[in-house]
Amino acid sequence: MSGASQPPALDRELHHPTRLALAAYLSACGEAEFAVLRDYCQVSDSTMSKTLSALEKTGYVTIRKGYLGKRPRTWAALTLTGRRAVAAHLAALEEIASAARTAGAEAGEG
Amino acid sequence: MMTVYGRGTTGRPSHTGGTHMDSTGAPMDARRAKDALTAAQAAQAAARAATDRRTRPRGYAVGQALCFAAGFTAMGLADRNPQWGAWLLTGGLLSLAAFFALVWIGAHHGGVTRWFDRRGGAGRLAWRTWLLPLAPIAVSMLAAIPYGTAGWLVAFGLAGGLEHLLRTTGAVTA
Repeated sequence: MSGASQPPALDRELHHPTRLALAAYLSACGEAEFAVLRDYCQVSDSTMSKTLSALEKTGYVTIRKGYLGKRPRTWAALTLTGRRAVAAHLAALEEIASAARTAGAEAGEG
Repeated sequence: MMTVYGRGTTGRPSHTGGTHMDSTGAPMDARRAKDALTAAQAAQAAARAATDRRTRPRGYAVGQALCFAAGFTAMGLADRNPQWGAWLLTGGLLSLAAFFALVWIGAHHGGVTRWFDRRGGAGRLAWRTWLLPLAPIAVSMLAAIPYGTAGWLVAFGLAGGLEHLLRTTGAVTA
């Protein structure tokens, strides 16, 4: 198999399902509010906060705090580094999945 | 067994009984990769759906278009009517400030903002996505030939406002 000689580069920081869902969501928008991300990922405030902090430490996410009227709001956005990392990670996953499909088809023919 | 890919913690492929590991050290087989890919694509689709302009209140688009048109028209008329010039210029600048404020508020409505993406989607070419935003510039340059700077500003305001309204309400896809 061609893919086995040069394995795709999966990103350790995006391996966890919640992190991947969060990063993928942010990759398709400019920035998103904390509550929107928490509701989409179906996690608690604490978990979302920790996930965002972890991705912020890696430089994949920027956090912006603001107000809507008197209500505090937290916004998260993917950095360019984060966007490249998500794209590379998804490409690697796609490569793994397609290589397996190819192998399955070859095995079927054999 | 499905082939498993990945890199060890050293960044080099690791082979443990014919199994590759990913960068976390955990095995990543094709089934898990496919599941992760599907979940990521679903997240991207959800974000795109949340930022769809057609789901936003139309009041923002109408207000933005009116402010844009009023701002440039007032500045164009200020050039032609010197006695009202200061008032028109002030009104025009205020309208443009209101336009940018409405763009900011409208973009953040719903908790998700759009990502600037000019890629051509399925069934359309990338250059077509630039065509409509360039139309007001072309119209205003034509108007500038007979009417000068004032004509350029008024035509740009009216054409730009109309283009903005059509694009943000989804009446025209670009």
